[in-house]
Amino acid sequence: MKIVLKDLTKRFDDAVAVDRVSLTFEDGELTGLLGPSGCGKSTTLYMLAGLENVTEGEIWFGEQNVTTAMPEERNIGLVFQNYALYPHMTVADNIAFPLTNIKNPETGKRYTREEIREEVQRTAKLVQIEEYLRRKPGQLSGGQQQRVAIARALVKKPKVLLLDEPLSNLDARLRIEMRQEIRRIQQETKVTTIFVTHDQEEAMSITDRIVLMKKGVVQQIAPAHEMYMNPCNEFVASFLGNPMISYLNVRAGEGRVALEDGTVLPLAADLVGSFRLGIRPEAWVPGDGVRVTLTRVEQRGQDQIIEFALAGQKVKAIADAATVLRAGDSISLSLRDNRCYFFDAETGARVR
Amino acid sequence: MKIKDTRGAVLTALKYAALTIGALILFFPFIYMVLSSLKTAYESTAIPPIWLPAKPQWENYAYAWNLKPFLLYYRNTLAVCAISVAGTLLFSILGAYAFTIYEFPFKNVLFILFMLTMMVPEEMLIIQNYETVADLGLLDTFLGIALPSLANGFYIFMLREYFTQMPPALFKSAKVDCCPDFKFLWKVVIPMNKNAIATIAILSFIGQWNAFMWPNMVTRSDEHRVITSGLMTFRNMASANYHYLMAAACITVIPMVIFYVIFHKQIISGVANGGIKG
Repeated sequence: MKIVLKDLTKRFDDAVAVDRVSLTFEDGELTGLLGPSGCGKSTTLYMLAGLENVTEGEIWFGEQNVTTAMPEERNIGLVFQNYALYPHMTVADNIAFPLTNIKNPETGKRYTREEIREEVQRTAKLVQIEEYLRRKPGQLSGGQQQRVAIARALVKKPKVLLLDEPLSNLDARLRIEMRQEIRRIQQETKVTTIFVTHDQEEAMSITDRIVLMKKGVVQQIAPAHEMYMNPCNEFVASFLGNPMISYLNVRAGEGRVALEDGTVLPLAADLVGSFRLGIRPEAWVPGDGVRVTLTRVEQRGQDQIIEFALAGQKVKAIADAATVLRAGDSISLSLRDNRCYFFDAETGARVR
Repeated sequence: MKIKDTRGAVLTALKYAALTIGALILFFPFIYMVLSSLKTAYESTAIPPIWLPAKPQWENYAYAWNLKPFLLYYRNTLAVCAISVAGTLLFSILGAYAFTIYEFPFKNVLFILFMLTMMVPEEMLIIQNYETVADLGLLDTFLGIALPSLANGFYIFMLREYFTQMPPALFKSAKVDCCPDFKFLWKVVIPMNKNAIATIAILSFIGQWNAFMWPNMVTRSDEHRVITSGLMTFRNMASANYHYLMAAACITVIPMVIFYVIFHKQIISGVANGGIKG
């Protein structure tokens, strides 16, 4: 089911948590709501769930305006950061719980015990926790509890699956495993899924599209690759990518780009004026260009992160692991211009 | 190592000795009551006191039991306790639930008012309560006896402390899963807090069993008299016959003793958590 937000706004007393957000979640897509804490992504999710009142604007589920609908009228599945499993019930009872509250859409009557058992089995199989059905949540690992929470959210075949920071309580290895699981389950069920996270890597790795927010305002909506390659402003460019993009204050003109101290960068541009130049760390490649002295080198195994200064501004770059570099080494670097972006020095907006 | 062991043993012994002395002091009136209930009239009032009855006078119990309808008093007390416990549970669970889950105007002010009721001694309210119960036509009824104890600010406060420890996501999750509020209360909140709720049931049972002044004021007939006020009327009849009086007192407390034996763990944890006197 397609979800449309029209000028969605949420104000708490004086603070604006979500500011005129308009966007569309396409049917069957996995969308990541990404942003730093306090950007309004969770508030947006809770408004979608009906757990938070909408101050202004509209929410449409398909052809239905659900702006003021109660959560129980929306047919959504919601997975919380802390899973919110009922500790006194078995895994099977937890998963069955939503079904005991609603009517079976196929028969129009309450679910029978047999139907519930079948649905629980089906969903448990989907999330691969069949062997734990009789346990209590307290006897499961974090990843298993997460699976139970997803099963409970999916058992009633919701039109929308909402996940609120579902991976942040897991350790690093499990997080990678579970995010792939979420992707697999989403692709098997084809349910429209909205996934809230503050972790750019999480959002980039499994989503069809990313909605990046800052202070209640949507910054950019694009697939991960597109957003990384074509950030629309400085904030987006900074938020995606690890190590972070580096910035240099530059002057452009006559087809050249120069630093404040006059050093000419190996970069062609037909812009004129003062800009902030964002350079992705992988944009730097060995070659004729600028000569730099490394101030810091950090080994990562597959590559190394090097740091140097240009006109007094710190720059991070990724270097191949083949030659071991050390702080103090002097090397010559060139730039790939498709990983360099010009931003307006005042507004931070992208300049093309 | 050895010295440490010895020192530990001595400390333990001292600790137990102190506790034993404390227990004896607390137990003394109780033991004296039991002993006196088995004495003859002379033994019970002799000076200097005679500690042990020469021959246990079990017939004191038979006499006391027959002088007043104690069986009826037991039944009445149980009925009043049942009403009191049921009402206390109902109102404190619903009250605590509302104060935990819902947002409504003046919530905090209202909650503070509930708390303030704890500062008002029961005795101060007796006249107003009496008028209320009389106006309701509930004098000399079980409901009239139980009524003032049904809603209790402290139990609401205590339960709310437990309820607020549950993650708020549980309620949100239940809402999204179409769970009605009462079902959430019944299927999630109550089972998750059953120990706290049981503690409240036990404490309110004990409180009602031991209640004396109020029940004594609103009862007029033996038909609705509870055990404590029954003991009072017994005293008026038995006057200075302390051996009978002590036998009747034993009859009064025996069920409570059994109750304590069964539920002592729960009572202790309830008192420890609630920080109140048992």
